[in-house]
Amino acid sequence: MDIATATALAKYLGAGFAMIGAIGAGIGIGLSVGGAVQAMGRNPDAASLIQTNMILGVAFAEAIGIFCLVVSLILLFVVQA
Amino acid sequence: MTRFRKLINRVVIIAFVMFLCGCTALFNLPGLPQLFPVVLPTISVEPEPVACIGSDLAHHCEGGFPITNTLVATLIVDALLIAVFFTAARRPKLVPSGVQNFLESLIEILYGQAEQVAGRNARKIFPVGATIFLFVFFANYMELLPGVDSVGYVHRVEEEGVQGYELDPRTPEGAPVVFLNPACPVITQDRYGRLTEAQKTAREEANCHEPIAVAAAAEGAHASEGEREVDRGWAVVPTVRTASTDINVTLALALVAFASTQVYGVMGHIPRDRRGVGAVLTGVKRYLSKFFNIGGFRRPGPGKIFGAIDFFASLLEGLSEFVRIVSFTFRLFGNIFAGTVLIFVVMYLVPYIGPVATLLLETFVGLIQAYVFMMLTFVFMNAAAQVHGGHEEHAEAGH
Repeated sequence: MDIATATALAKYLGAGFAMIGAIGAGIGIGLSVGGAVQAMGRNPDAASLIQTNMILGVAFAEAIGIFCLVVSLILLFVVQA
Repeated sequence: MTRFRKLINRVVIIAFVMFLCGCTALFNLPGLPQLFPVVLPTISVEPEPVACIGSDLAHHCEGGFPITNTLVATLIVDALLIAVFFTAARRPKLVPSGVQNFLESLIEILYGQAEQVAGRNARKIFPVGATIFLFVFFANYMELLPGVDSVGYVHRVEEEGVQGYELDPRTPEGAPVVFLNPACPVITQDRYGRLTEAQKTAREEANCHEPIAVAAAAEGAHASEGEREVDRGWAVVPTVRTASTDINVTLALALVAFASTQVYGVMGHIPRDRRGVGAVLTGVKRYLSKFFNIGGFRRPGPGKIFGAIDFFASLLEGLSEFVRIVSFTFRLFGNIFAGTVLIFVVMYLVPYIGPVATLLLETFVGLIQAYVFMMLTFVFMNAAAQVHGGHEEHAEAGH
């Protein structure tokens, strides 16, 4: 395996590994939405307030997943191997 | 009568859509000439310049001011927003209708969100967040328009890593509009060797050129004459590209949100009973004491340990202000850039029914991201203006 192949391999592997971080974001979003839906079921009157806060929480959790995605995309499309 | 007209309108729209679908499907059947070929667009993180002030595009716009395709999109969004709001607000009617009605209800919804966060202070924070929302919303939805990201200037591929295509052979000489030939992506010899027999015969049937020899190109890379011999094919630089896929645009928005948060935070800490420069300085001092909380060190004896903890916690709070810039920037950029890449790839793989689902998803993502950007701006601004040092003042008054 020459050096060019090895770099290309490392690039694609790295892009894949970077996306492992999305697991955490997925769990976080699932937890927060699950909690919000339960809360809405118990107290439907507060649904709009809960929804706003849920979307904010989801946005925070999602940001972590998006960081992973950005790292992965940079590896794929910016790094020249 | 109006009901009848609505029905007619609906039938006309459906017929038009079916006509378009029929056309595209018919012309892309195998055996018939491909009228609307689908190639994989160039995926590039950095925006491409489409024009240049003070320099030349041929020299990569060195020393000049490049007008990138995302800048074009930004200006289009700005012009659109200004035009829509001016026409709607020029002669406002007491009983709104049409565009004015739509905009008023939109503004009302946004104001309701600001009120939910900040209560009676909503009037102060509303303009920043709502402007960001409107800009991001329109900028995100540009990626759904046909022609954005796909129509532009055709240029020769020079750099490695960009997939070039041959021109469609049916393009007449000197035509103003050309198509790329999706049957003939330019590939290297070793990649050609890895193709299946069916793919090789497909290339031969489409009369594609021979695969290029990359080893020779790499050897001649230093000698500029040898490099020019290699034909890497053609690629499109889109004239308009979705503004939010440029990290500079999202960073600028994040900096605006950050700066207005700081200003509003200082404003919230200015003592109400005083005016002038001295009051502003007091506001700045009180606001900064949130991030350099040294008040705890004045406590007697072992309380100083907790003072130190408070100090480090306040430093972390200051750090988190700057982390927000990064998180604002990459959240919007990542979502929309990933969305465009998704649209590109799905259009390349499944050109017909497939993109509908993707476009639907992107409609949702574009709205949510604009909403999230606005809401976070509201929340951060409101939090910055909260006065925390209440008990500290009591302590000062006690001494």
